[in-house]
Amino acid sequence: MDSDYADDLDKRRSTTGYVFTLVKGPVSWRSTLQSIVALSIIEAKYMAVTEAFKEAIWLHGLTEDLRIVQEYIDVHCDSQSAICLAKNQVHHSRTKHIDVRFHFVREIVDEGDILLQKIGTADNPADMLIKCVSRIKFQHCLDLINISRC
Amino acid sequence: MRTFKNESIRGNRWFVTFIDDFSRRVWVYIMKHKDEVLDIFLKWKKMVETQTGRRVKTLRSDNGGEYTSDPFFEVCQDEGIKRHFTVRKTPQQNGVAERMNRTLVEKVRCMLSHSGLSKVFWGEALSYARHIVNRLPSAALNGRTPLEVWSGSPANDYDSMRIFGCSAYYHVTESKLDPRAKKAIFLGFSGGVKGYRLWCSESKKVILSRDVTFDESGMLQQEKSQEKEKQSGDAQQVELETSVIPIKTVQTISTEGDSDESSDEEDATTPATTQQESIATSKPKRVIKKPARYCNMVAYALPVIDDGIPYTYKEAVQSVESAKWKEAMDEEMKSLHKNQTWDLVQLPKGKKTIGCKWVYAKKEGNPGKDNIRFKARLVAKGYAQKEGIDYNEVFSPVVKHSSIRILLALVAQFDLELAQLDVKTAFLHGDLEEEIYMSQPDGFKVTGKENWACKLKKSLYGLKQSPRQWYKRFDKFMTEHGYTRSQFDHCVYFRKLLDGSFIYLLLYVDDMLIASKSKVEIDRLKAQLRTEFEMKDLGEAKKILGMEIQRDRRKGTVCLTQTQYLKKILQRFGVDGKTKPVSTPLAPHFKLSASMSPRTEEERKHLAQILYAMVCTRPNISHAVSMVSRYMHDPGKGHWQAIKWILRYIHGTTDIGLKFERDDIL
Repeated sequence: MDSDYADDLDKRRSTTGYVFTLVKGPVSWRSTLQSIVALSIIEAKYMAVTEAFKEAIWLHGLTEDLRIVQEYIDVHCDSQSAICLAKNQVHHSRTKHIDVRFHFVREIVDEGDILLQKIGTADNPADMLIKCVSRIKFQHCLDLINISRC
Repeated sequence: MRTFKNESIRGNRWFVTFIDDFSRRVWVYIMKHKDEVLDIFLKWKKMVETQTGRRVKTLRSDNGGEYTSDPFFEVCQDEGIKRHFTVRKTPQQNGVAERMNRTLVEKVRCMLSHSGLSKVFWGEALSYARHIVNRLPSAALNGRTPLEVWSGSPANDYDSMRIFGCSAYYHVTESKLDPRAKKAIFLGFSGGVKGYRLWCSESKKVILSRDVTFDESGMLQQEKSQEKEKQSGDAQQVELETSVIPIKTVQTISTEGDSDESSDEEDATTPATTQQESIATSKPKRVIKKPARYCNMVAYALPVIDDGIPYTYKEAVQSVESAKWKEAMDEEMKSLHKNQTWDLVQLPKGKKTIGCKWVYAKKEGNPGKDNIRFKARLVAKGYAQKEGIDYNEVFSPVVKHSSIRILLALVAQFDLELAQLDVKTAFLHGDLEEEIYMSQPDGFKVTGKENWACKLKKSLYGLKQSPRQWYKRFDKFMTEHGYTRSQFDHCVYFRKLLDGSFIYLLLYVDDMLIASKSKVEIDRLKAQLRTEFEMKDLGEAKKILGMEIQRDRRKGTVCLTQTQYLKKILQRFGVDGKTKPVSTPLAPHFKLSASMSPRTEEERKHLAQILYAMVCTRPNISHAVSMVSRYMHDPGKGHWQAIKWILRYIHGTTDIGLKFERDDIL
């Protein structure tokens, strides 16, 4: 997953983008404007993580129903600070305003159903879902999630 | 006598007409002041008496001051001319002159308006009008012309007449290298001279010429602009003064005709130098072309494709393919009766019927097959239903696209068999819980029972609760046969088989996908379904919800594309082979914001079509589409350009799709 901070020119909202793959192909994706204004990059990322987690829970449940054995779902995030915020109950002036509802991420991470991991920006396919990328980067993103000519 | 607000080219404002009551021949004199009337009368009297050898005996006029002046009376007394006057405010008694005035002025108005000449030419036009009137048959003369009655022989100069105001080229010899002709405008004829009266707009002079070539073909419009600048006269409507000033009527008692023409009446027998020309316009017209940017816009905005699908029963019956539509409707009725959709009853008191209508569609078969299927479906007008009376619950789940993709991923991973089934008239399987009456369908009214109503037993298409009833019925069937419904997507069912593997079923309204390792199990499920519902076996899944499924079982891949659907959209938007594709769906130079939105309405539903592609198989355009959709409630030019860009991207990548590959790790 990824997010772009305050890229909306009208209301300064941020963008959430995520894509889930199964058997190398993308099964679920989203690119959407966040519903509230984020005050910092980390907050924007954190909100994107929340959205991605919601989807991940659903996917996890469905795949379990369909008897695909998966210990956990990997969610890759390119922001180390957002990962830290999810794992540790850090509280300081920059994060104390973040709405409780986004802290359900912490609960899930604690339970261990979903694994939040770091990914380099260069290898994050969700990049193309949140901003205009160059031709080469775009092609790279497509290759990562196996979108190609058949 | 009449007056015009506009002076003529020579500064005249008045005209007086003299009419011979016997021959109805008319003379017109134009003058600057009213008091010239007496002099003109004397001149005219002399001319007429000399020409005919007879004397003016009676003069009829209205009571205008210029006719009732003392000098006028004296002259008449001296000459022994009898005077007739009208009763005050009774112009009827001077009818011949009044009607002639009207005839003349109407002709003048027409000629000026047609030629586009300015109003200062009224004098010339009047003179020409008089020329024409004297040569036209008159009802008062039993169809003879005034000139014929006057002189005993008809006029013979008709072929020299031209359209007033037409272009004329008169011969000049100025120097050896100058053109031999100059352009002028035809005005009429001059009395006593064998030649045409022309107006040279360059020198602003009236020219008399014998050697003239006329061009009447251009008389349809274009003289106007040319003449406007030449004439300084103010552009006002030709108006008649409301207080009508008297007119003279002369009653010459001329019993014998005189062959000679008056001095005023020119007999223009100029040799016709004109050549035969077509009246039809020959001026080439400029082709009006819209600016290129606008052309494109319209092409995008109006993708009207006439596919010949009727909208009403009447249209279907009258259309060219009526036989096929009729056949489709018969089939639908058969299916409805087979399912015992309704009972024909008399409508109980206090109950209302809801309407119904036919909906028609042409369906293309799977890719590769060409035959078009004609479909007709009877739908109830569900919008007339009232909540609480006609229906209660309406929610019905549909499968999420993610679920379809997950299933396909499974198919790729475990190399499952994939089958597709279609339930015929799915909604008709749903049982109706409420009591609903419907009017009988068009074209299938039972004779003798036209006023009866259909009491519905099954959920017909169009009813609000139909999808729900169908889903409930199907759900019941599946659970009875040992299938479990997924908690995460209520349209996904699965069952564990004896060997530990699973059979999956996905329902999308009336389409279903079945996947399992064992072909036998799939066939068994199909057979079970067939006992309960009317099914159509589509074999191996090729296409679902507009997505094409391509499998390569050897390599273990499943590809999901929307090539056909996208090509259709592109065609609707007018994107063709000439459009240059681009490599990314959204370029950084599109800085979209709400400030680009104009306050006007524009087409927006087309974005929904791209949106669908995004939902189904295209994560790659999802960002671009989401960017653009934010402004679709109020799209501006910038947003349109972004959409065009997306379309160009799609154009270059119609065959791209999702690919699921067997993963050995899983």
